[in-house]
Amino acid sequence: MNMNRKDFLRKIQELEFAVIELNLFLDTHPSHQQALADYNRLTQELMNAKIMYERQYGPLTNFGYAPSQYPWQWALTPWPWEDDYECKEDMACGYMKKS
Amino acid sequence: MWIYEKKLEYPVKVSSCNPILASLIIEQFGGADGELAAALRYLTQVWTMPIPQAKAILTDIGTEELAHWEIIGTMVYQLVKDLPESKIEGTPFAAHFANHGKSPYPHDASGVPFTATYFNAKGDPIADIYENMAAEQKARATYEHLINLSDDPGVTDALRFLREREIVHFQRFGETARLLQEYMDSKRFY
Amino acid sequence: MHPIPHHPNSPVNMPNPIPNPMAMPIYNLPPEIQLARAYIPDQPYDRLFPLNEALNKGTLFPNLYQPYMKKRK
Repeated sequence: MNMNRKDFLRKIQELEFAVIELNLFLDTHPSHQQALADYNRLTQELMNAKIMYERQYGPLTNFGYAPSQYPWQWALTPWPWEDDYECKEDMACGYMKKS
Repeated sequence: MWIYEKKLEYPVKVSSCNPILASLIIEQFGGADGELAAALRYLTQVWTMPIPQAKAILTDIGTEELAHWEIIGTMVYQLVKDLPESKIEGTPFAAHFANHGKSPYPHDASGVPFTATYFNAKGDPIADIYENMAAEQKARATYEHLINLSDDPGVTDALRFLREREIVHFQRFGETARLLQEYMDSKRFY
Repeated sequence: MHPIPHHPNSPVNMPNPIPNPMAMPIYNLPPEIQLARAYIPDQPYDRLFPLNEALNKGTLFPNLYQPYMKKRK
């Protein structure tokens, strides 16, 4: 998969949104088998997509949810409100491209 | 416990610099029917809910509302971040700027600061769930007012997403109300 | 079909412009439906939107999609 960062993130947003919707439905319908099957299928796709994304662009969650390359990617990779998606620490991430 | 995910739930990109629009959509950042009020309402009520479906839905919708609060804050910030002070003077955003600069801050479109009196937790599951259903309708109506006021396509796009979420939340709370009512009824028979 | 009762307070010569809900008792409530309660129907789990469309619209479920028609200025 050779998408740029923005397109890859969009794919994850689509998958995660569907998973959230199914999560809410299951909260009030815990014994709905079809919904649960769909939730598990999409969750697997989402987890795989996140692993690939994080390998390339850094972690989406911290507190032990994903490992980090050196230097500490969590702080240095772009934050959600930064639409220009450029890394703030030239020295630390000279290898990261502007998407 | 809360874990933060470093992405917005919905991809937001405002189409303009617009301090007037920023001062309006901040209503959903710190207003009575906004996302912060919703998040705290649901996350506060959860302790006294008697059935697992209610605990799950309040926790999960409460968490999603925090994600929506982040979207609104991001839009407020994006609408003003590149403005020189001269373009803020004389707009409704100037009063906000005098106190907070370009930082989002939880108050409503009139400048009234956020207060916990915007929501309640009665410790009564039926009263609480009906408050939540009303809250989702008020939020939906507010988004419709804001959609009518917005002339920025990127902002309008995000407002439509957030409005539809309120409709879905209302449905989920409606289902929870039925489940709670059935539970409360069942407790009357020994 | 029940005939619409004439509202006791309106003049006899004037036809009822609006049915008076107070004069129309509900005879046929299903036994499990009680007074002083709100009922939201359970959502059927039918079709799902494609993922791209779901995110754009704000829901995965076509049966919950209720778009807003913006008022003309």
